[in-house]
Amino acid sequence: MAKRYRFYFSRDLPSCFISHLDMVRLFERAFRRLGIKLKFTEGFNPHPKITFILPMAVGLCSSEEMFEVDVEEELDDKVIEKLNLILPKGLKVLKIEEAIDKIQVSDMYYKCFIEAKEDFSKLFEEFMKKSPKIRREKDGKVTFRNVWDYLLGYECKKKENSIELVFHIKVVNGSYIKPEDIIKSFSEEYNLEYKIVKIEREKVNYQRVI
Amino acid sequence: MIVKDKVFELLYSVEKPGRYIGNEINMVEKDPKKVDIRFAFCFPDIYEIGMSHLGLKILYHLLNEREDVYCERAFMPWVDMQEKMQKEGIKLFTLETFTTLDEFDIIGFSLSYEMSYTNVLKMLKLSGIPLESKNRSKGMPIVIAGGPCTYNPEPLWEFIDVFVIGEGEEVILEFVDLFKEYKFSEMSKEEFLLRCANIEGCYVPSLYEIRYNQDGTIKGILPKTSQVPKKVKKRIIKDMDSIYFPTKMITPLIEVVHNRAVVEVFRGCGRGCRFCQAGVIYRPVRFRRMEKVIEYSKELLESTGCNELSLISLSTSDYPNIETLAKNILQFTEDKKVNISLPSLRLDSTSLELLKQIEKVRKPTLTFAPEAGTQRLRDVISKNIKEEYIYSTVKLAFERGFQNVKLYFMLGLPTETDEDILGIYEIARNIRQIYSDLGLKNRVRITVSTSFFVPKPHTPFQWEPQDSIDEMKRKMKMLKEKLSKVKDVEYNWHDFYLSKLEAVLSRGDRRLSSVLKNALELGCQFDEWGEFFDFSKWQLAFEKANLDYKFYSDRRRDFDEVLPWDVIDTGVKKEFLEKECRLAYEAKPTPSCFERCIGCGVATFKGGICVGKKV
Repeated sequence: MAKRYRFYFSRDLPSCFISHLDMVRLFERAFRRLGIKLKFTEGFNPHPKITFILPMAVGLCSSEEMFEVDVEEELDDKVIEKLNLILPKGLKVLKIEEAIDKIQVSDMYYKCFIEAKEDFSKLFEEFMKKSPKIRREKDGKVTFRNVWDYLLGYECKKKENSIELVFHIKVVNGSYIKPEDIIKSFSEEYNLEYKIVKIEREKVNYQRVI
Repeated sequence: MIVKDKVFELLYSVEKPGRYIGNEINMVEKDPKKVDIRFAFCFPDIYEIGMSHLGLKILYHLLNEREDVYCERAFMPWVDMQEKMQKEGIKLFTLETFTTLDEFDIIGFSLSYEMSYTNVLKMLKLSGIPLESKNRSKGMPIVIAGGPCTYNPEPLWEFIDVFVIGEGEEVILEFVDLFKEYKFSEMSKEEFLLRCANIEGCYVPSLYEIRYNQDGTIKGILPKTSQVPKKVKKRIIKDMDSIYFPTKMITPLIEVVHNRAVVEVFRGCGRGCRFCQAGVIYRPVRFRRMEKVIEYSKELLESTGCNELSLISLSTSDYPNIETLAKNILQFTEDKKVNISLPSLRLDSTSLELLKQIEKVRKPTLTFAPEAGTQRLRDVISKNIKEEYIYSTVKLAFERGFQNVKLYFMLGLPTETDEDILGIYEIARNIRQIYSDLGLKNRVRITVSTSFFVPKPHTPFQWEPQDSIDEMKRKMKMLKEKLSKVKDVEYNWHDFYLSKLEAVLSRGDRRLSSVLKNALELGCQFDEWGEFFDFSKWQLAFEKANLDYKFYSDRRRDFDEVLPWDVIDTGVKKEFLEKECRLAYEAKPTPSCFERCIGCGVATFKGGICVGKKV
């Protein structure tokens, strides 16, 4: 009697520096430590079914992320507290729910903190008006994607020592663009130096798959 | 800004930042202000290697059992991180509290392989701590070192205050007690070191003087005062069942070399292969009771959540009833989908069945280490493995679906001739033939790997020369030529120059301290990692010190020569080693300790099988 659950969690320093694969293993170990029976895949090399709905880049912090996991038992809210006691600093489970339908990500917000020279914001506005493209190289093939095909909106705020960029990104047929790639394209075109201080995924919206 | 925040800022732009965040499962957290002694356990390699090391984890938790001690960890940062740290003026820090090493009371290095010596120096340098013991006054950290390399401590003598020889679980606590007295009293560093030298297992190099002969060999190793012992005896744990073992073991968050729960089933090895240092220094064989192994395995899996359990030793098949043990463990691991691995297992029909049952991997690999290509040479090294046995096991394994065979050999062993090298080719060819004869359709893969013989201190071959680099090249090429004619055979060989440097550092004396300093200045680090290793820099380091590296690697020593490591007593007598060496020349093997006592001398330690202790 396997059940699928959704675990919503937040990720902050220092756990934001853990890679995607290590996150999968980390949660597997946490479940094992709590004695929760996971459901394993069949075959030679059985592994648990833990699926992060969005992979997380190394360094990315987030106020709400989600993975689905198949377990062989019924879980209730008590598991949240138990998990939070043993998870490393920076990881916190917020809520769980049983997955009775199938959902996917529709759009999400990112906040990036950047250190750069004065004219960064002005030039960035200029760049965004020119229907910018992102160059992507995969297996030797170069493709270009229009930023505005994946972008619902953005905001560029100047703070005291840094620049805060907010992106509202939509997922198109399961793919999306990363804010750090937009910033990289921009800086390459304008030959600007910058330093990313922190990137946060602020809010993720889901839609049911029919 | 505090160190931690500065470090985190760098982590967005370095490779594998997870190495530098600590915060692991079962990491020990304490308030540093509430302890008397802060201990930084340092591993002179990157995080992923250091955190695969069982000794580090045992001592880390053991020290932290004490309320008055906080033991933290530091690893060698990768090159990209080092650059950024230097640019931002950040010294080397621990992962628990991000405290820089210069603020610690004790710095303890774990020395597992000689090629990490430059990293030891680099870690001190990155911490802003003076390299030389004599330049560190009271109030600065005391630097100690342990691990198998300390059986020849001399090359590092200038940098390390105290070497801890042998197994650390008891002696480290005695050392810390003495340190506490030193820290909170008027005791001088000189007096402290003198008292350290009187703890059994502690070697304080500055209290010994070396005199040399005209030809550069050693005339004598003399204690500077009558208050220190002439020889330093290694420490062992007599009883594996009453010794501390941490079942709430620290477990990394990121992928490391060995990411699994580990339990030692026994210490020591009774086989006595004549090239092997581990076989001597870890003597005698001491088994851990089966119930203990099972208990620790259960607790470890529960506390770490690992999906793999490894039962380790130097020769796991020598554990009495290894099959019963494996079956008992399977009972609680099977339904949890926990894999069991048994490294160092001798393969035969029973162990093959066992392997098939427990190691659920798609493409199982068969591993043999005959070390030498002919029976004559295997008798020389006393490696008790017969060719017929390899062939019958291989046949059995092929029939059971194994498709990968790995074979490990050494080139350059004492008395080796070209015939012995061709023997390696014959073995590979015969194995390939067995596969053909069975008429199997799938592809087979036979991997032959050779390392170059490195004579090690405290072994019967400690007096032997190593092949010159030209000779190594010639032998490798010859074997490569021959093996290229066998289908499905892949040949790998170890780097010539790395093997050479390993031979130099293993049997070096005190004069190598200045070579190491020169090497550090020339930028040597991570020598074990081929990408940074530059032998020409090392040659320069030797030239600057007016030394010839061949003196250490390529020279045959007389049996009566004073060896730099003669100051260390492993319990195994030098006369026994000499006798073994002479038997080697006659190609006469010696039986293992399980057959009968061979009188090596270690029985004076009154431990394990020497006193008839069984599981």
